[in-house]
Amino acid sequence: MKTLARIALIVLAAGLFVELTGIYADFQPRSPRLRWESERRRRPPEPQLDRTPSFLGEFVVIGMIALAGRKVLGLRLADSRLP
Amino acid sequence: MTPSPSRLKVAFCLDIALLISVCALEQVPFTGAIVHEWLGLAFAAMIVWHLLLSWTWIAAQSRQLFPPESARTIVNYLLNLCLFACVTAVIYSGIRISQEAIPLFTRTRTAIRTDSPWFFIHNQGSNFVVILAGLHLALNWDWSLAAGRRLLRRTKAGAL
Repeated sequence: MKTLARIALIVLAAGLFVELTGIYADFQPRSPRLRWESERRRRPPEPQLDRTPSFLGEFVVIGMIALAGRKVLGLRLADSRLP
Repeated sequence: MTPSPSRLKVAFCLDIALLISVCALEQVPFTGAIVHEWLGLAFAAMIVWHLLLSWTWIAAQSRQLFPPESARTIVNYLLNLCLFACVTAVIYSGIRISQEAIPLFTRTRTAIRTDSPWFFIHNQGSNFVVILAGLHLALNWDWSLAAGRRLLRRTKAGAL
């Protein structure tokens, strides 16, 4: 029951952000986006394993952002929530 | 409160799965459009699970906001809230432009108009998700390292 209540709360919060996203979408200009078609063409239905380096590159990007977050922005938890 | 070993293992494995999913979802050509859409739906479920596992911490942090205990508490909370908002926007816009997974549920396949804003929102939102996921990792770096070390120690002890 407690879990269901928590899921309901998460869905409620997500619903709020969906509404806000909808409002944002309404304010977007309705001009045809040429990039849209080219982006879609770059989306093959089947996996392309020769793109593995790009996939691994994402880990590097996230790792670098995390490192910058730690070193430059000094991000860390406010409490000691260590396991 | 120290989490039980099994709960810690689940939480850690789920975090790893989320990290791998974010990286895979960012590279659509790598996964292909079909896997991308199904993985996106699985990602939404994993996010809910991740939030449920972190509920005690979320509740504690929410209580500390009124009144705020420190600037760090506010910044961390806002960062996590922004990540949740961006992930929600990306998942929702992904559902709106889905051509493979969602039509299976709705049994209707409609062509997306080229002037639809959802594709733009999906692309832009996913860029923000990568940045915020990196900062989220920075926030939880100590926890992740400690959890990884603890699980590794336990695995080694179990192997002996």
